[in-house]
Amino acid sequence: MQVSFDVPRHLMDKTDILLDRVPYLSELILAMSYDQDDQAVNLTLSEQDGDSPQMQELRAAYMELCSSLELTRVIKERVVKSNLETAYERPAEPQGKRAAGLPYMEEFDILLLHKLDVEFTRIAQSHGAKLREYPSVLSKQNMMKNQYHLHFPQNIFGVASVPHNYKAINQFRMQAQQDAYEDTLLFEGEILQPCICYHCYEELQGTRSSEPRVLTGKGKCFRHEIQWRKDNFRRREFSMREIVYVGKEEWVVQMRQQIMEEVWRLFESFGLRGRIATATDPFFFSQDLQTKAAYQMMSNAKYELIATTSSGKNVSIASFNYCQDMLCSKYDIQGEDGAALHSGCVAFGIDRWKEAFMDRHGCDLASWPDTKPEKEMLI
Amino acid sequence: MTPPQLTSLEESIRDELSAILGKKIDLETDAELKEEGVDSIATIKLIINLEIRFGIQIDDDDMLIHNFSTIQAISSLLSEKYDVAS
Repeated sequence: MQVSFDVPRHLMDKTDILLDRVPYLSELILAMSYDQDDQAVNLTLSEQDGDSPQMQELRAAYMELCSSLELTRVIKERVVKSNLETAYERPAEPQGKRAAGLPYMEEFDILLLHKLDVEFTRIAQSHGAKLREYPSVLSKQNMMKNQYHLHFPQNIFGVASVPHNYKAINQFRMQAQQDAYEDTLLFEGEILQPCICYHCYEELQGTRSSEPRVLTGKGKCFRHEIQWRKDNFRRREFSMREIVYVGKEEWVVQMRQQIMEEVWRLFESFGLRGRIATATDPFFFSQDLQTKAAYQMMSNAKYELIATTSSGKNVSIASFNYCQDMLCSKYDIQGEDGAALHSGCVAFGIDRWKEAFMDRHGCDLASWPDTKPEKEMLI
Repeated sequence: MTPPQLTSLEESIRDELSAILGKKIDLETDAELKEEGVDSIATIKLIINLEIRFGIQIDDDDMLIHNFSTIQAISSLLSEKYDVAS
């Protein structure tokens, strides 16, 4: 069935924030659109009974969400780099564009992901980064430190297992034979990593050094995206490379700036279009939006590189973060003077870079800038 | 040495800070607020309270951390750009 919810007058300048959160109100929701003329959110639902308890719960949750956003202050982004205004010759339709939504990678995707990561790794290593590879799972102890799950619970994927217990193993098998094993799995707080950087902080935990340190790691990351919002840019499982830098305040700020400049040059060398602008993390709760998100915007704590696709879609493909001493305080990472160090990270959504590249050039590595020898090697 | 006399605007800002932090604040006007425990949450609360108190809306372009780093910086912003009497 279809339902429409009016957007309250006090949220007219916050519709983006509202629309980002509505899909999480209920699993009944199968699709959503916004009618700007009627100022209403239109939902397609799996429920047929408009008076069912689930529908009443959805209406109440919508009201509560609207009410909680009332005091949220929206600070507009500050654009620090953009090539959207420069003359742009729209390229011919790229060769070999593919339909969206393939649930696996083909050879070209894999080659392109690798080539992109070579570039990101080169940038990291030019700043002295040490290479790392971490497990895909974050322990409960690590989660308690980073508190990601408290601020972004909507993204969490937990890891469950069959307990090593004779009775429990039998129980699992019996339930599995009836296609109903879910309740026999045990969840002990391990979370599939939503990003890489918390492993780096865990590695440096408890250390005392005034020497700047840079680590870089790549891995599969996992976020519980809503099924019907998934597309080539928004996946539940994706590859990310992060560069984490820890040191004195001035050095950390400078490091972020340098990497941002290099990444922008790389972005432009691919012929991609977009901007770098201040941004906030996608905090779920209004209390965090009112405080942490607003403070992030005020302190330029986060910049995002937002690619604009040929269809006009805007997609964040990298972020450049300055965490002040917050994470080093939590992980007890100090300088020799006993004060918590400062830190930051740069994150590359490698799959999104791939999609942005393919949107511009199709499946054609001839457009890769100045990499003839490597191209020949790969093809 | 006798500390310099605070303007009424600086006193108002200090009062708001005291209310938010739940303790009497007796800061030099050029002291960094973050060193005194004014974190992100307290900063945002301070801005909202000052907007209500003086009936103003601070522009997005002025929502920069250095504008709210000291009592003096806040006072300058409010008096020079928003005509709040000092």
